[in-house]
Amino acid sequence: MLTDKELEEIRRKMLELEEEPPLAGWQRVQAEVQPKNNRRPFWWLLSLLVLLTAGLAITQLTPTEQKDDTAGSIEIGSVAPDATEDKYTPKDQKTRSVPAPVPVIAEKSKTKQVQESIIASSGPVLQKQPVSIADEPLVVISGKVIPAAPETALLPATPVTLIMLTDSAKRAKPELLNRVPVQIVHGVTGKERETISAEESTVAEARAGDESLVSDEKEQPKSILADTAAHKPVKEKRKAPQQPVVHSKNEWTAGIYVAPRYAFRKFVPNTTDDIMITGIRSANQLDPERMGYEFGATYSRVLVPGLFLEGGLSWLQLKENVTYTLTKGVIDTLTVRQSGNGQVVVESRLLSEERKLVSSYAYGGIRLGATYYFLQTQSRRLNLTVAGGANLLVKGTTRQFVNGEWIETVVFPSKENILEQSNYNLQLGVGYNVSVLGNYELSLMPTMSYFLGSTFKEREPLGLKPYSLGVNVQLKRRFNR
Amino acid sequence: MVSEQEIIAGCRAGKASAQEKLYQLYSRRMMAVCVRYTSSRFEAEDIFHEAFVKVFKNIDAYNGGSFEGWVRRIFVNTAINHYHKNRKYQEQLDYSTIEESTASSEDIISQISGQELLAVIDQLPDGYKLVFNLYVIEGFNHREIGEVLNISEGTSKSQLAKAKSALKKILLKQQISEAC
Repeated sequence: MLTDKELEEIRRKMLELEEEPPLAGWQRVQAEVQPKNNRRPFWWLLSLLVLLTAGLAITQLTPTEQKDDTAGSIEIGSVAPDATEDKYTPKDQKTRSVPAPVPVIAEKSKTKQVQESIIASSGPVLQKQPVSIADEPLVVISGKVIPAAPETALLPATPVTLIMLTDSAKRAKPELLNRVPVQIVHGVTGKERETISAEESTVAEARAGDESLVSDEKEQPKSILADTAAHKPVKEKRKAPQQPVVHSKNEWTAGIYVAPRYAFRKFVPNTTDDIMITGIRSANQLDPERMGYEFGATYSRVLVPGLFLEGGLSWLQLKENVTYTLTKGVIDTLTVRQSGNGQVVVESRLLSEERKLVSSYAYGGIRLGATYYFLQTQSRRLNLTVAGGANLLVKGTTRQFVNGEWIETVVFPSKENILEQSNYNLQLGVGYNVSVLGNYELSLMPTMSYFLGSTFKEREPLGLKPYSLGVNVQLKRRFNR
Repeated sequence: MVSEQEIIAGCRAGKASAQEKLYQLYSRRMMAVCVRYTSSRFEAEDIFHEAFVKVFKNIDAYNGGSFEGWVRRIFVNTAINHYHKNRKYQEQLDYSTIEESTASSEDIISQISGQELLAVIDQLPDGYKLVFNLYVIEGFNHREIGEVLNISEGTSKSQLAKAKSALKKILLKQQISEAC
């Protein structure tokens, strides 16, 4: 029996003992401890794309003052009239030369009398011209009164300033209601001008509660009020919050898209105990042989405002390239040697092989999902799309190489199982959409697709779950039933 | 020079550089632990890998005390689990006929190297070797050994006694062969 002293000596020597760790031991441990390292660049790239898309959209969706001022509209009446001067009696009208007397208009005639001062901002000419208008607006340019431009006519580019004064015959003390700056947009058609006027009216109604106008405007005939308010300064109109686009419940879209797709992959064990995979080459994440593409057609319709139900058919071409080594436990060589203490040591080397699988798959797919649009303006909007679908393998080939030598090419799907290699997928994307050519919309959407179901299944001792990153470029057309 | 505490903090933060430093710091000593509990280098490497992964994945559970002791305990536990998993394949030999010896082996123990001593211990049957390692080197008591190996305290004591006896016999045999 060993004594305590002997045991302590054994313990001390054993605790001091060191052994050479396995070759590539750290690499193996690291691969298991930090497998996310390989995916980190991918997530970083996805985040960058999303941020880039959002940033671009926000930049595009936020109009600047500078842009508005140079948008081809002329803004006048920027010099605010003194409020005390505005309040004058009819008596004052006779004696005051500026502004010119406002003729009283009989209500029966339903004609509004307007005193217009024209200040040509581009030149020193200051003209005053009384103008009588009925229901049609008049435009005064350089002292000449002309009727509203026809539908197709363009207004002159000369900047002008109109100060419009309105009055009512019913008013006991006619007052200058408002010195209303009038916007004249040059370079637009009559139809577009009507649109602008309509927008201005909307803004004016929103401003009806403005205290400075209440006392006067309450007494104004509605048409005049609208007319007056319709000529609020353009700046105020532009400062109003952008109205969200409301989609008709009858709206639907049809589109086509194309998307380059790069296949990433995740390995899953799919083997029995008699095969051991000793290594998988997955270091090279950016292999051009894994670049594929997808194209297809989509259809969507409104579920609730802003939310569309979307379906589509697609053609997907994916590529894969996998190399791994395996052993089946068969001994390749035996080495017999004698250690220093005379012990005979037998070392075995297992037979291993390197398998390389170069695959190409063409899938027909169907997808159903939902698209939510947000940050919408008249011409731009962002979307978030979540979809799921099934991919049916139409044609696939896998070229098999063992130790660098081509062995065979397997063609999918096999006649015995036509559903072989088919899988399901989930897709998530955030996109930026811009209206083009009227009812058309161009969309740029980075997407990630995750495939459920291994692409190798029973044929190989490992499973492969690809996930792809792509950018959908889509052209859609909006319809209303 | 990075301190052990800094390395641990780096590992907790998931830094690969800190993990590699920790690996470099303990890999040789822990590999020796693995070799002590197994009968082949192949098995030892398996345990080594599995245990190191456990260390990194569970480093948040370390809450003070000797860090090397904590790491060593993980390796020992992994080796014990490995023993349980492979127990059915291990040949259980009856060493009850091992003769008791009273001759002194103190000289031979002090003369041989750690590697040679390891080779001697490695000649013990797996069950004996396990109890011997746990009791003599890791400092487990018989109750603890009984719990981790699912054996009674009495069995543990018996195994240890037989291990000591067998080890002494091997050492004496080696002493004789060296004298010759």
